[in-house]
Amino acid sequence: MKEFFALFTDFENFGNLLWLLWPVVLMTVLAFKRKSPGERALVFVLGLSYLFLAVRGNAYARYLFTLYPFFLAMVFLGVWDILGPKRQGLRWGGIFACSVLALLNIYQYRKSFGFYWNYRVLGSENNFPQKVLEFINRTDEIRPEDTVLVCSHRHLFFYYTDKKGLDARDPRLEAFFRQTTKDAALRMLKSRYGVRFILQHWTYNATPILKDIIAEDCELLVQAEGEGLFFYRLIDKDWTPTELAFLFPERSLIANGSFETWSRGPLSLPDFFDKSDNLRDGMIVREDRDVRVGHYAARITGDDFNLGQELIPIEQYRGKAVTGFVWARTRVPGKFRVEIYDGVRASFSPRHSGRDRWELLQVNHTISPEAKFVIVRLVQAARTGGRDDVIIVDGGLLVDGDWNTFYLYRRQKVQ
Amino acid sequence: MSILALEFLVTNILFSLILGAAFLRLDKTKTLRTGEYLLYALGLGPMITSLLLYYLLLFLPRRSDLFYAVFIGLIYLLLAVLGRRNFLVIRGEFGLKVKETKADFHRLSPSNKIGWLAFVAVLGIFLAVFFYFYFDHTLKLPLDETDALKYGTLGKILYQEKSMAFRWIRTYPETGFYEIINHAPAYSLLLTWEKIWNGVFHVNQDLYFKSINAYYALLLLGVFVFWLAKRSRALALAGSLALFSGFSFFYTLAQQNLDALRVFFLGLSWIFLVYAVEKKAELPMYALGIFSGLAAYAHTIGAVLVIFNVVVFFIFMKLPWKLKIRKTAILIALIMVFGWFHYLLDIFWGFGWVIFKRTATYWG
Repeated sequence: MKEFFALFTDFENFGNLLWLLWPVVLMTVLAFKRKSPGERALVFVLGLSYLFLAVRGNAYARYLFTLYPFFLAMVFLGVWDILGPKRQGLRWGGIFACSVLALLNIYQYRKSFGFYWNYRVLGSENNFPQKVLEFINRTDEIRPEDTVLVCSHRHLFFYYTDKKGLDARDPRLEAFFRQTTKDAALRMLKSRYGVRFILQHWTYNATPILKDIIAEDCELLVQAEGEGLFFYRLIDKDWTPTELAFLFPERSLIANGSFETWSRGPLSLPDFFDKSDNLRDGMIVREDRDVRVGHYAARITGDDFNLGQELIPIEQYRGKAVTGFVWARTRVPGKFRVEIYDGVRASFSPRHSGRDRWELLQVNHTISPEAKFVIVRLVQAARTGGRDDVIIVDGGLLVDGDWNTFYLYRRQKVQ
Repeated sequence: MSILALEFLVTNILFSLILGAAFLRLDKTKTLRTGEYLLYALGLGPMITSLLLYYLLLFLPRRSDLFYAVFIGLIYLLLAVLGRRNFLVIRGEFGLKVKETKADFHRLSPSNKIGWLAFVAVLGIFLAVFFYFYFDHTLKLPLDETDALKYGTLGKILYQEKSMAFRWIRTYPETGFYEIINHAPAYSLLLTWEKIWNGVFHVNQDLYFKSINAYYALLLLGVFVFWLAKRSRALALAGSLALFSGFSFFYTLAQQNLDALRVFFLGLSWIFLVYAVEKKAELPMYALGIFSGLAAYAHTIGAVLVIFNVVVFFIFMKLPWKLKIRKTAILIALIMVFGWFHYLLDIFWGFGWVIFKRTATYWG
């Protein structure tokens, strides 16, 4: 019922004066016989339209907006006429009161107005995935016969690119979603649909099989910094852990990324990770059984924490692009990711799928020229209330430049 | 930017004035004042162009950019010839109005002069802020609103194919774009129109498409101020302030979508409904048909709500039955030609009864 009257009660969208329409309508109904046929017709048509929009349109604000200017004009004209020419003082008082109420409403919802007034979706900023779209348009990797599985941002993809896409909602994909094993689904994706790339935002709720494909059979080509939009390529070859370890460059901008040194003991923070938050002794321990790189990894149990390291000296890095990688393993889906934060903006990796296997998380970030510091959070755990959630991390790496696993592998392979 | 300015001047101003002049020719009994006609007609240029393009792509598909540009230009030239005398009328009345206003202003008392100047100053300040926002915000932002992108992509496809056939295909085979778009392609074809200009002038931009909502929101505000200012200029200013105090109007002005476009035509159809019921002249009825048709052509909400216009028009007209039926039939025919025709095609050859089935709870 409240929705039915949204046009009169939603002050944010329709101001705080529309309720005055009720006395106007009442006066019109009382004097209905004296009204001209045109006025009567208008009352009827607007009444029917309102009923239709409120009931059939689910009182959605953008649909109700259809009536807003017209109803507001009726309020002002109706009240003006009701007061009559003999009550000039009342008319001026009414205009003044309405103006004050309108200004108060603007003041009350100033944040909504301010947000749009300052809203910028320029390519240089984080809100618009310009980098991803430019990459898709310019890369030679996508051949004319290749198809992109468009899981997210389909409108941006189809408007801004001329590449061939397959909308994840397209009924033709029904056969793919019916597959019960990952291998069969992957085969079908490649052979039947010609899919070689996947565009996915982290909020996209992929099926478990598609999650597996993205986590195990894809390499990240490019991501929109801060936007959480990822463009993957299906890998042609499966790399073994030994090959992967060999392929990765050894030089890293962060220290102790493979968690080999624990000078404060195996139950305290590993060396160099002093910019951690909410990590008490015992929450992070040295792991020597389930290890991805070297002899040790870090096992962390808890909720709402960061395992971070500061990049110093900052002067060297301002305005530069960096890429972070870390291997992670957990059973908790959608909780853990990597973050690079420079005080001005932040970039994030995709979240771990929680499929209890080693996944390589990657984050790309361009450090702001105004940055006062840079913190690389190899693990960022969201607050979910799960205090017993466990993650094992290893092989953390921060490299200079805008990298991705695809080119990382290729470059090393060529050498 | 210069192509945008040229396209705007031709499509929104010149074409609209031509249509306004042609309209005036039909108004033998001077039912409305010329200024009021012109204000309403300013919205016609882009929509009638879009509608012409719709019929051209439907009946004369797959021609060059130049063909469509020249064909549409010739239609307007023909209309300009038909309404040529009225250009002089418009110019004369405009000159007369300026003179009258000057004379009225000199006759005003000092306090009224201040009030008049304050009204002009407030409008001027508003326009300055609007243009600052438009150039610094609307034109600079990449298109990123869901509706605008969706209809824009359809406009892109219609340009690539130069045919309406793909309007009714759910998955466009060239790119895989998959969408069921219920509304008639009024808004989409404005991007197609811009792309035709781009093709003729060898540029690639979507500035005109991004400006549509801001333009119609301004016109909507213009109509709002016009009606309130008939009573009092102070009332018009207070009303405008109240209109902006609801975030939805500000949002419409700032965003790139089709809300202002569809609301403008629906609102005008209601204004002409009153005129058509009250006045004996034919022109308000024709205008009701045209604006109702265009409201339907703009959006499915309009397509449904204009049915109420027809019903109410039929009920409230004080005429003998025979004449009533004849007038209503003319009205329905006009609504069909100016936009509803599309939904008929949709029913028989397209997505089916989309406007009724899918609008049941939500306009896709």
